Amino acid sequence: MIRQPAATSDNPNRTAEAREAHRRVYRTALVSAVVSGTFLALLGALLLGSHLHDARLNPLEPPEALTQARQTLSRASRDGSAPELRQELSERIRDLDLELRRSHFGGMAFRRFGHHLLLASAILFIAALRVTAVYRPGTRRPVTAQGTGARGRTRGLRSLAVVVVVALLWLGAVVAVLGFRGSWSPLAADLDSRLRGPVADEELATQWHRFRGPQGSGRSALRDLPLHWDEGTGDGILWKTPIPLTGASSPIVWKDQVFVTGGDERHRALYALDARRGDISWQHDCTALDGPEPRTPKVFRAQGYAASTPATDGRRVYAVFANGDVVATDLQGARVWELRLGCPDNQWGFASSLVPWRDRVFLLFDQHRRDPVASELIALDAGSGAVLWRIKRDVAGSWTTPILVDTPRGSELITVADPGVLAYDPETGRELWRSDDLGGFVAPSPIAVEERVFVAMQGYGIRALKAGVTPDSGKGRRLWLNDEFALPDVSSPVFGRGLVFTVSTSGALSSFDAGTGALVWQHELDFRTWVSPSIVGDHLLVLGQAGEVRSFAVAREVRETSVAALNDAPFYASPAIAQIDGESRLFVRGATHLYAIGRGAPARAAEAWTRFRGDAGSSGRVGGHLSLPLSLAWSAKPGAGIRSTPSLSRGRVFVGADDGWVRALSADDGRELWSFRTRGAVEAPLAVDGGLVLAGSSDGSLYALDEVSGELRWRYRTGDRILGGVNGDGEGRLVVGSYDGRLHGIARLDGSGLWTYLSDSYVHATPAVDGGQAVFGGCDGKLHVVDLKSGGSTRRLDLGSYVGASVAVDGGDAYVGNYQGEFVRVGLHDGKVRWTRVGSRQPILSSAALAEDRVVFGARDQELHCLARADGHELWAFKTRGRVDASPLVVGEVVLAASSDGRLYGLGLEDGRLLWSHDLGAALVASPVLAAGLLVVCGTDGHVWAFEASPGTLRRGSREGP
Amino acid sequence: LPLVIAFFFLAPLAAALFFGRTFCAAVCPHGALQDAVIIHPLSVPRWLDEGLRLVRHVYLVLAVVFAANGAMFVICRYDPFVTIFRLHGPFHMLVFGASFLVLGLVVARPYCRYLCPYGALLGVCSSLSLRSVKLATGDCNSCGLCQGSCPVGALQGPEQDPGPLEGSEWRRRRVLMLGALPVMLGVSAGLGYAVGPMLASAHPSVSLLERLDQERSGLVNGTTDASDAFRQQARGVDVLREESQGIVQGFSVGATAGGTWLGLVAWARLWSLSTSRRRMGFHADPAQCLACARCYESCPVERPDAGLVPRSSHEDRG
Repeated sequence: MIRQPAATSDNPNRTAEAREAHRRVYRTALVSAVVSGTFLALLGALLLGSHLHDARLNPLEPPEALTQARQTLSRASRDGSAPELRQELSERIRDLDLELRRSHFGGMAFRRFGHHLLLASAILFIAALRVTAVYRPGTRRPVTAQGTGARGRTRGLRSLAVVVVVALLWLGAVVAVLGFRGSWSPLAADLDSRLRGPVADEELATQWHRFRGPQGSGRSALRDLPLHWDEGTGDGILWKTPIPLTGASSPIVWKDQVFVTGGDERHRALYALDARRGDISWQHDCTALDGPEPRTPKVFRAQGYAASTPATDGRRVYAVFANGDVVATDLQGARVWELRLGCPDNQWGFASSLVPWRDRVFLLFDQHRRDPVASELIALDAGSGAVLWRIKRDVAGSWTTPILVDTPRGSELITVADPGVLAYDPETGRELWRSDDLGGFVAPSPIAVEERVFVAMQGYGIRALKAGVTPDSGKGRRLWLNDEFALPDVSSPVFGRGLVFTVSTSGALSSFDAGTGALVWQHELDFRTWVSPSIVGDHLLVLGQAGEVRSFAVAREVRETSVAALNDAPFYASPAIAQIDGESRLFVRGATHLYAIGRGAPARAAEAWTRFRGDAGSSGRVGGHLSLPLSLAWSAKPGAGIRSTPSLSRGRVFVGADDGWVRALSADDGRELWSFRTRGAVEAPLAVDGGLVLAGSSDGSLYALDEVSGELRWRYRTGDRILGGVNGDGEGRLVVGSYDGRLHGIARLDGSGLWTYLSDSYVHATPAVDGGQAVFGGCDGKLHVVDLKSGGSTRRLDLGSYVGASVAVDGGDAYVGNYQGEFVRVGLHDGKVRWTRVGSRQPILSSAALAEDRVVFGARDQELHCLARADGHELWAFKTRGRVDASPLVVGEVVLAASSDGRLYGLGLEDGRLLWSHDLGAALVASPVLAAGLLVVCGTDGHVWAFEASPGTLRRGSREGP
Repeated sequence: LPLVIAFFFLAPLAAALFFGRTFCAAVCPHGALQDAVIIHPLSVPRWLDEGLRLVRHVYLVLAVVFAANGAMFVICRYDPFVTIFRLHGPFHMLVFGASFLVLGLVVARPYCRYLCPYGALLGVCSSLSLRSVKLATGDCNSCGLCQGSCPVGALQGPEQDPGPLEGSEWRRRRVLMLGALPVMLGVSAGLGYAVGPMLASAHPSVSLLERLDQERSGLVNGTTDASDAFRQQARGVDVLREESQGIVQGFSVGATAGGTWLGLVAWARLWSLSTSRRRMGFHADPAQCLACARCYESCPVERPDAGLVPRSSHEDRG
């Protein structure tokens, strides 16, 4: 605090002197204050102006002049102008660019300096002002005490002020509350049903939004259909995405999203895929619902636990599962409502699909018990899942999906079961009419054309009934019946050009006249099918159980228009047909994958390297041809040294490093997309399964990270370090070995442990998966064969010494080297050693790559060895300059191998001739991986190198076996 | 809550119970900064001062309700001087802080007096304090220099009783005020309860739910990072809704308590203004006094007593 020196009055002269001194101080301070104040104001205005000017400028956007110069240069290089001219132009651009940078960074430095100057002048100004205040001449006048009258008045005013403030606060609160009342409230759960009604019927008709498309007709409004493709070459297959949980349910499409369901005994899920790229954009776990878990249903094996096709009305997606659980999510995958109806009594398992209509969803919940009646038809409110009505129907179990028919008398909900066709009022659930002329296990669903309903059923004939006429007996309303020919017992009919087509399970394709019911033609297909036929434009599409695809002209004579095939058998689901970006697309679900078929460039995402050795059997083999040399596409050094073999999926490269970080890099340029830190070094190979990146860490945990976001989904703890990679059976079971001596079976969905299998020592290797069994060698020197479902041991074979390498399995035989340098081929079924090859007695840690007739592996003797698969004799060996712990890769006729000498080698598979080598300058321990036209290699110095495997030379989809 | 933090929070309050707002004078860096720029403090009209002083209680209530329900730390987020101490921060906060300093040239310590939520608490504790600033007890010559020297208008002169109002009038006012107490508390609490759910929208979970509901109903287009992340968790909107309902309840309870507090504070001011009191000499209102001691310095009686000037010279002058 600045204090005026106390004036002493000993001497009047001294007092005067002191006064004079004070005056001088005052004047100086005043001048300082004025000067610094003016400076402060000017500088402040200058900086403010500069700030405002700057806020409008984007330093990343080049000014007009630079853009123009760049365009001129690119024109000049296109036109082939003289090199001098281009040189001059580039120099001008450089100068301009430099000038811009100078001015930008110069401006920044100026402002920083200005800010400090501003602060200093502010301090000076305030200090000067304070001095002036203290040294101001003149005396302070005493304040006379205010009279009580004045105080009385102030009190009144002050009280009024308090009252006014309180009144303002109250008023503000009242206004806010009233204004808030009409808007969103966290307590209102029924917001969307209040705000938005259902999507218009016209829009629904353009979308394949339920089982068998619009109105359940199996007919698409589109004109053309992609009919030609080749899964071997990948032509016409836009993408092929594995669906984590299997199901017989069909895909549905809403705009650019494809929805499918999947389930097993314990898990149920709804998946949304990007229709363009095939990525699973979200998956909604439908396993955990409120209420007691219903009993596990008994299902027919082929039908499974997710046979009912989901449905959408464009607002929400609805899914029902075999145990009677119904879930509705919004189109972004957030749950809207859920309902547990209880497990239906259905001897073959539940299969009827949901039918959305206006503000509601219908569910045919037929059960086989008829005394008392158990079958029901249920209408649920689409927005809340509330039961609108629920009526008992005296019918046996059925596996059909209802349809809605618009008649002059109103809409009718048509259902089919034993004993016949039953029509209901969709508003109230009142039964309108019925026909008692069906029996048995009714699975084919009805179709309708205007008011005519067609129902075909093996043993009971195909018939046409007229809906919407006065209620009377079903027989009276029948238009015709034809029961002379083979008819389907599972698939449903389809209508086109005055004809009704059916295809029986044994492959009898029939065409009936829709007006008379007379057979027009019949054609015997050479395959069996349960898939309902579809019609797109002029084509009738038939899909066989084993993947046979035929199309026929929709005409009164038999004319086959195309033949194609798909690999992912068996096929039970009906295809979905939709228009994406103006092109017709066919979405077909196989046993484990969903295909998108159509014209256009295949999505790059289709190909991936998702586990240590590329496939379940750990073959280390990629089909197609690779032309050498490879050119470097990019390199990155995201962190510490890398020993972990990377993975590659959907445009992302996943790497794990010694510092514990797992990172996702863009496959296009190596830019880091996300990172996640585990608590120990990540040396284990990374795996990608069902949208999860699986990383074992030396902290003993297996981390499951979201492929897209890197978020931790779950963590599974083992008793010791995990140095081996994860493998899976494609059905949601994962296996990984740990230094706690166990092989762990884990559920992919939630990371819960399924079982553990105890070996006698550390498990270092990645297990191979073959025929429902995991095969691995342990540090106990044994080869273990473990059943994936139970975790029980199927076989234990002595291999003589520690096994650190992963076993490669092909044709029921396992190939692996051990720590004593012995390489063996063992039959898994009989446990017999086919042959043993004793090499240089140096440890083998590299896993073998299998080619048609030979096997390639590296060893610590610094060599790559190639042995004949038949008898184990050495075909060739190639000497590198360091230990070969990384596992080689066989790509067509080329062997790619990385060595601790820092080189990447390309050798001829035939003779081991060196075709190409590339010195990367750091020991390579992680194995190279190749997918999506990219070869990725990681170094112990932390580098990630990506080489372009020249496009076109690598066959797409070659690793996607049946 | 860590004990150390609790101690740092409670110790100044405890000190204020005994010695007034010494924290504001001797510890608080915000106070020091504002004190340094006091050049020519104007006296704020007392009615305006009275009204503005309630604002800090509103701020306090909001800050506590938001912090207690985990929505955000309002006080930290809108701390006006933090950009100055850190020499870095968002431009608008810098402008906010600088404006307070510029205002502080002529209105002494504006933030401390009218906005500081901790100051509101300290003021309450201080007004209950055992000892407060009393000047020249007994020797006061009613020069009023102290009142002029107080930059924050805390010094009050002598008051006489009952003044122009009759004793009965004072009594009538007191009865009226007692009657008004339940009304003020009730209305404030009720309005607080009603405002609670609205405040809850500031909570990240509640605002996420709002966003999700709007996305679902098509009121907004596109998604945000938060809503995308939520969907990837597959937690279910109902879980979030349940959680949000809990949060909203928390806000309602908090806002009810806050409303009650505001009603009580306003009523206490009105009560104090409508009661008569006899006061001799000059003394500082403990709720407003920031313990800067400028009054002691200006007091011709206290200065020598406090050893600020040699007694002899003072007596010589006398």
